[in-house]
Amino acid sequence: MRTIRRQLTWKLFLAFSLPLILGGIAVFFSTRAALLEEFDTALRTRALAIVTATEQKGDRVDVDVPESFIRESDEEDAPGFFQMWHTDGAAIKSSALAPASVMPSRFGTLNRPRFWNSTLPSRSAGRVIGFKFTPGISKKEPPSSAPRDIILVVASDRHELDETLATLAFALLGCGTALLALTVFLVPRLLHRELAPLDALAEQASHINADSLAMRFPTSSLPGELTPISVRLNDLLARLEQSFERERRFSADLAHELRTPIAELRTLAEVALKWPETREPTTDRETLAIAVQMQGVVTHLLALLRSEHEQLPIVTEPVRLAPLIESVWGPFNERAAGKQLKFSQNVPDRAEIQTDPVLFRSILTNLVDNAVDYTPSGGTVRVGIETGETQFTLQVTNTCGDLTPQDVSHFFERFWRKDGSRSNPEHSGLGLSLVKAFCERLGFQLEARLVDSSTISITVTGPISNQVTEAT
Amino acid sequence: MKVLLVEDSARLQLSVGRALRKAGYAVDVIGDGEEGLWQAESNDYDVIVLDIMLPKLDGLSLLQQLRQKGKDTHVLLLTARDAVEDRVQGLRLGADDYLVKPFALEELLARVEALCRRAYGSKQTRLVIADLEIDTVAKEVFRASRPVRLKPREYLLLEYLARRSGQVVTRQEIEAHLYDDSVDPMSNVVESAVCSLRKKISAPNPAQLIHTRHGLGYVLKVEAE
Repeated sequence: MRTIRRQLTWKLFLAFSLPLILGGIAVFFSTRAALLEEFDTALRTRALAIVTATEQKGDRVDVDVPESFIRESDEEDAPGFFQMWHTDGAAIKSSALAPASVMPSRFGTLNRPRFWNSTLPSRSAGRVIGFKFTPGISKKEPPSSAPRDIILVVASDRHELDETLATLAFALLGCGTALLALTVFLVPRLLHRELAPLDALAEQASHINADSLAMRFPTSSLPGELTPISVRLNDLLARLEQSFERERRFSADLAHELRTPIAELRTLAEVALKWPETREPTTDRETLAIAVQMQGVVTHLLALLRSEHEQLPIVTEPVRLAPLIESVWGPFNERAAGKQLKFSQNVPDRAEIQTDPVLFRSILTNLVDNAVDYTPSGGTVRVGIETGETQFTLQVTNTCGDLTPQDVSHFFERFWRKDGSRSNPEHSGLGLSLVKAFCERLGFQLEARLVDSSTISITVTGPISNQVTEAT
Repeated sequence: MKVLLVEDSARLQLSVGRALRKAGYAVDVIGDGEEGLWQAESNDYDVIVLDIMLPKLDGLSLLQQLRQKGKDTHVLLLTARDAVEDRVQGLRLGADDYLVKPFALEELLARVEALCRRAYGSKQTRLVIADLEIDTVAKEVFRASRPVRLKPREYLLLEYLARRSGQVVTRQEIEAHLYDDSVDPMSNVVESAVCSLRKKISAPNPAQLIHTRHGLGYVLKVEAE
């Protein structure tokens, strides 16, 4: 399983090991180069001492190597050697331990000698310098002709140098390995300790279910990196809680809207069957009223579902607004008169829009129905329509009772009713949610707002652009 | 037995009220929570049938306030809410029973009857005083093993007196438990009912079981010779 701990440990291991290996190699090779240069300088010094001791005396070459130098070279624990040849391969002189080797084919000059590694006659590793030089001329016995060039090879045991380099390599490798092992050991433990709040969050999250959505994650005691996560989780929980609460309320309201009329129907029937003599003529009327009420709820719910699933067909055609409002208001006239409501409309006579006439009429009917029923006696209902270049605005404004901004925010929720007891069987709380669904289906915007403490206004805004025409 | 029905649905008020009355209960019907609370506090009901979603004051708040004021009248919650948490909340607030709408009328009547029995601390469905036997489930009365035909109100009066056998029951208590608000308190319905009941239960056996305590009330018991 991919875990942050494993990933971090692995990446930190790589991040440490790469510079460590490269650094180790760099240290080793720079040290090796420095030691080798120092070794080569010493070797060259010895070779130059031999050059200095070499003279052309007459026809022969005299090599006056100091006795100590030769002794030193011939010692068994320092098994170096030197050899001299003329350029034609004729041997001139060599130290006692020199191998019976032939002259090297490649060599440098006095100023730029050539160095190479070789195996000494003692089988140990050695370092060799080789170059060509012209010997000095003896003043006592000058040669008859120009002195011939000499090839000098000087070798020295590099055993100590190799040992030093091996020790250095071992130390670097040991330190590097120890550091990486420490990284692998310590990092997971440190991460475990530092990521403990994350484990605590996970533990808390594992206990969340539909019944514990009120729970919140701590934000103050967490490390800075985890605080935003905790805050976002809390936001998510709050939204989930609201959503669950809405669903619960919807279920409870739906249960009430359906169970109550069924209970009414059942008890009416049971009482009539059990005590037939008590049956009254109103029983049948009540039964019909209950059926109509339930039919209304089911019809509204189906329309809502169809609209939400975009199964309502849209057929647009020109709709003249003034006659439509007259026609919608007609059936409410008597009810409004009974409550002494004052009705007014402000609609341009010739205005019309291009829309679905059935859905638009349903929107208007529900808004007017709602306004007439919930306006207190003696109140006012106003319907106004304005048309612009590209938009139309329909506004239904009415006097209201004790509505609060909080109530208005619930207006378009399914089954919401101001009266929590849901006593009025004439309404189910689906009318305005149906208005919202139809508006969304037609691409209209819908807004409800309190104009003042006693006036509520619901506004529908929609595009008309080319679809709007003025009747000729 | 007297029942208070607090229900905002006019149709349920009508049909449940009628069913309870036909079952022999005196029923007061109230349509909102505030009035329901006032009635429940002011009267001595045997059972309250209480809807939860009520105007003005919801049923659960009504129940809570009733219990806080020390009223331990048995309460049957009647509601469309069927979630477990709703039931638990209702029972924790002090309800004695819970019935979800829609319900069978017989079940409602049986539960009200069971709560009435509990109101008198008895689980027995058969009350026996001397040779008088009352079957509280079948609503049948026998005297000396012979059936006695009683009107619903007479039966309720007899059952009420039998449940409080040996205790003096005042006229006011009988009125409060057997008659609803429609009965004129100045009428002599109690005396008439007692008189009629005496006649009917003494037909199989002339030995009187219902005795008048003048100025106090009535007592149902076997008087020593």
